[in-house]
Amino acid sequence: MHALALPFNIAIDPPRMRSSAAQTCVAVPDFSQLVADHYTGLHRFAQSLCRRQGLAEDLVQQTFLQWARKGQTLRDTSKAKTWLYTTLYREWLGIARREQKHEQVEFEPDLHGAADEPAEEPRVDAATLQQALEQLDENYRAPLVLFYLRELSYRDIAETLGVPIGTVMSRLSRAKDALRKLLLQSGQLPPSES
Amino acid sequence: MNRDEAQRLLDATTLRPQDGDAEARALAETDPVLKQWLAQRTAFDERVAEAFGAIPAPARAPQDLLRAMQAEAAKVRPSPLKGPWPWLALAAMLLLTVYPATLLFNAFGPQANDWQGEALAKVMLIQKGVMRLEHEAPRIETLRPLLAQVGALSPGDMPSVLLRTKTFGCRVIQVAGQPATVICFDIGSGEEAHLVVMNHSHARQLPSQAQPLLASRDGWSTASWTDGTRHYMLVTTAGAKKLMKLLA
Repeated sequence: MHALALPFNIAIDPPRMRSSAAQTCVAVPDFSQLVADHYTGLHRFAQSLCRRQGLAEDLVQQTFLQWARKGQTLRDTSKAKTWLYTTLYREWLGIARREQKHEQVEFEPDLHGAADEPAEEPRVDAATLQQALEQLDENYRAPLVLFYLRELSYRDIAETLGVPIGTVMSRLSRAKDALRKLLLQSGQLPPSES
Repeated sequence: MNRDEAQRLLDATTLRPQDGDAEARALAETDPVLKQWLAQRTAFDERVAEAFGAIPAPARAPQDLLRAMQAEAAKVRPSPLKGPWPWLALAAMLLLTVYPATLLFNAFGPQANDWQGEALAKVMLIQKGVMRLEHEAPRIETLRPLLAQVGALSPGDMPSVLLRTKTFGCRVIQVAGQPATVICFDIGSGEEAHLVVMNHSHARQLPSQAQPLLASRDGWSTASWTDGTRHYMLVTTAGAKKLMKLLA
């Protein structure tokens, strides 16, 4: 695999390094800890939604400011992470509605090829993945991005996006199939392990 | 659970097996097709997640974000009386200061304790039909044995007019945590009067029946007296004149 050279280290899965006891801690997380834990993940999610760097930063900052105003009212502090992602998503929906750029388009498999299993495994690198994700409809991109962030369970994803759990599972399954097709169509060679 | 259902559940948890469904995982262990599909899907998801983590994103928040959050929080900082504890403390303080004062006031003050107010509130409910009579009989002499059967207070000496007045019935109510008896009278013209009989231990000192304490309260005329062992309160909305006639 050819990973992009990055100027900094990214914690791919910070929450998995925390214990479950920490996640259910009743103390309200302090601002610096909260920002350190979730800034990057929220930014990736925001970027995948709006595809604009500046707007993504604004969305994330707005989300944290909302937390500063209202976070103390959250009764179940173990839900802070879900609260942040949900708030960011709602902020985005509000912006998208105003900009009339958010279209509720149902997934059309024909746009992304049939869902038959291909014989070969697609190559996956950051640049190709980003291009492929941008081709997905937002209804499928949003749960998929949250899934690959590994921050939230599928139940939390459903709560964040305000859709039923069954819908999230269906969208994840179909979005993964579509993503796989798109990655294959990118014309790159299969990885060495397949 | 069939293979399709298990596949959907497993597909949603490939990267977080801790969220997985035990039944679906067990099925994947016994179904070779499902097992192979899960292995391939998990491998694909792991590679995508790794590549997703490599998409450039800021590793740290801007320096001024924390300051902005602190400033935002300061704007909405709760007042000293926000949240349950300050209010609970205030309530406790009031309880510690006002309640003893109330006890003293009730014991020695001009109003004595307000058993009459509590009794009157329940009489209102009886008159409105909200609280039903437990026994119905046209004469008080018929009601006495019924009250005695349940160990309820029965009136002793009564004004002679009241003694002859037709009754609707009676019921036992709780006043100041003690049982009291209410006897309802039909005083004509569609109007009623009610006699509350209560043990004297929870009432202030009252005059005798010969000189009852008359009062008016919330549209009700009341007359209160004691016979030494019981306290009585006769009430009606028919007015003080009719009340006085009943006391003759």
